[in-house]
Amino acid sequence: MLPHRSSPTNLRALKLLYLFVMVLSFYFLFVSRSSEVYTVWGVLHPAFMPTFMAATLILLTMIFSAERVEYKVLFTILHSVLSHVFMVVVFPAGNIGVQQVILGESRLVFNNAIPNGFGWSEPSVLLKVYILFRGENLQTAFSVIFARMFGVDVYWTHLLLVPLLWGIFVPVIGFAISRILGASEKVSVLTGLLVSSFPTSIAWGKESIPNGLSYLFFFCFIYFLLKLLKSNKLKDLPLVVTFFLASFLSHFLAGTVAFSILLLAYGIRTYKKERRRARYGAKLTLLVCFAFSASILPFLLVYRRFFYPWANTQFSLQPLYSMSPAEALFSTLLGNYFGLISREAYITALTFGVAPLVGFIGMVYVLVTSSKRGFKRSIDPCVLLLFLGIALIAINDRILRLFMIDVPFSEAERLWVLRDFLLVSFLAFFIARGIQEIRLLSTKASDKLLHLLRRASSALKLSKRTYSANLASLTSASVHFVIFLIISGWVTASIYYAYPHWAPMQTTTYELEAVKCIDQTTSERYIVVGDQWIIFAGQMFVGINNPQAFYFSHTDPRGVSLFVKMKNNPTNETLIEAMKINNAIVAYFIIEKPRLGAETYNNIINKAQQNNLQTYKIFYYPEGEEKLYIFRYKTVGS
Amino acid sequence: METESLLAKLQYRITQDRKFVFTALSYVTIFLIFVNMSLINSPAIGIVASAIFLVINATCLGHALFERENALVRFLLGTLLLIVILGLVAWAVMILYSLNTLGSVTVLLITSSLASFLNIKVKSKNASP
Repeated sequence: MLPHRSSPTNLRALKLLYLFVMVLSFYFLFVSRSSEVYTVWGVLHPAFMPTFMAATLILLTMIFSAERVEYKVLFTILHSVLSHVFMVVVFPAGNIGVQQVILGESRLVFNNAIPNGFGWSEPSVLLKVYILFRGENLQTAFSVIFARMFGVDVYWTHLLLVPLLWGIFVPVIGFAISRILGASEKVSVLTGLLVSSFPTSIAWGKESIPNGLSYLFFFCFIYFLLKLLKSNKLKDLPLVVTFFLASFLSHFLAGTVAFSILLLAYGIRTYKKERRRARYGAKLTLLVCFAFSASILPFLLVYRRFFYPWANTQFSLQPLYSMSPAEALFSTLLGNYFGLISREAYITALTFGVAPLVGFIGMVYVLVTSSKRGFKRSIDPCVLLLFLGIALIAINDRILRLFMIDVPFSEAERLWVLRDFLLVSFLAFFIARGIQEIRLLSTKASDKLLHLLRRASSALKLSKRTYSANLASLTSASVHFVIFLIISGWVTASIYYAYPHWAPMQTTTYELEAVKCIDQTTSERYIVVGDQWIIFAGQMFVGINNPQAFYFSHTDPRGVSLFVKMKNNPTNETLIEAMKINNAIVAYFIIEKPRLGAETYNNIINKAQQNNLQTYKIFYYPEGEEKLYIFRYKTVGS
Repeated sequence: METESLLAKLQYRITQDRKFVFTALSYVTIFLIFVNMSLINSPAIGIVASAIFLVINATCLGHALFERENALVRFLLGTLLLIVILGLVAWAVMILYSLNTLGSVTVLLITSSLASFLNIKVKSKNASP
């Protein structure tokens, strides 16, 4: 047990102040919750961002104070949770799109409509294996087991799963990784704060999708791998395997990179063993191991078609040929940052790029100094693994962008997240070292200044020791304040750029009420014809392609064509045609004014009334303004 | 620090429990979760029972695998590992059987037994001269 130590009054005051500012931040976030919203920035309380920045400043002060490490970790977790729950709190049903589709799939398992997850119904064995091992199944398993345990609806466990897991565990793993690399507790907590504030980290941890889970488990995998490399104990191997498996089952991208890094770790271990016997042979083995590891992801993407016949990823020089020589050169050197710079998105490039760049400089510095200081000039294997991991990710990024076509993902940040995870500890090292150096420099400068003052005015009766100490402490406080202010500014900017500034209108409260109302009031088998936004809302509560309560998948062309047909000419005949899909007794047609525009909305209603479509219910929001219209057709005699 | 002391005391009690009271309590919470899942459907009962289940088993896993970390980090890493094991076992049960009430209880039983087994193993290892 750790010895009991009472906190001084100023630390207690700092803690209370931090908690007060955090409560205020959560309050501002909750009051921003809105029924009809596009992005968080459209409705966020104006006082939230300044309060959040103040909270970050206080947290940084606490991190570098003599406060107990447990409090620092707890408060960093609180900060991280706040950074990741914007969409869950502000939007009525989380971010619109993929996460709602995943919830629609989880709902089917939760309702025991498809008890064995997705993939069993596929005729091909290979495709079955491919789908069973996809992230949707693992995330569904997580959401459903927690929903059953807590006795709540799967909607809640799904919505909170990734933001809460990221919010809580990413800072802890960041802290633990820095400890393994030999950092002090302060630097380690700073790592925890920084890693949860990287824009890529927020971007992938803010909503419940399998990718988010896979990155989280990848980060945990890195920690346990470093632990294994450091301790060399077999006891740590099952943990590495567990997190590799979790990462791979969540998403093949993080899983594949994890596998490559696992091979690299094995290569480094062999290199360490062999280097005394055959130095050049050991280096060559490590090089071959690196080249093999770097080739795994591109080749797996190409051979994915073995399992998934629709995959068409190929090696090609086409992307390279489509660029000018200068573009190709800068693209190779700067990666995706070149794209941002060429689009004149300088601030975005800076927000996304400055921290990894500083981290990389810190990593190179640590690598060089560790090789000079280490036993017989040997490099710390953990630092070497992280360095080679970064090189591997950079090479994979360039191969995927310049030498491959039809890569199944286009977002640049997918590999950036993995890179940022490997670099973050070194960013914290760099900052802590920077603070130390500047403090030393400023103390020297203040001493010199005092000396000059004394010489300039001998009449001044200055007590050298007192004034020097005061000046040094003032300078030190100022240096800390300026650096903390810069970091707080970066953390706040990073949140600002991590959450999208453009988005379609999120699922509204009246859409949610409409789909719930239909489900609660219809005991017969039914089908709903609507746009993709209603489909997203509906499938969250009844699942995708549920035969009892049928919503088309948003990519199903039958659903799109039926909606277009109803939009152009709303008739009972089209609804009868739709009912054949699941032998429904009742069919609903839903339109929303903000999605279609007032003119189209009114035209559809007029035509529908002319065609004798039965009005089922009209929804108004906030009060008085008509927003959503439901038409119904029920089979005669049922 | 009060929080630290409380957490460390609780961890000590759970991990050094020679009469397997906490292991039994963990199985009782699984029974409660089962009853809640099949009959009552109350979030209050579910959340309380699950919280007790998570604390006991996360502490066991933390003690078994992260002994050298400080109390809070040990508990958090134990929780993380417990959650991942729950997810992986749930995935396997879902694929092979079904994640219905019975399947979910099976997942909880497997996870809890694994955590208790690891804790007992470490305890006996530490006790042996």
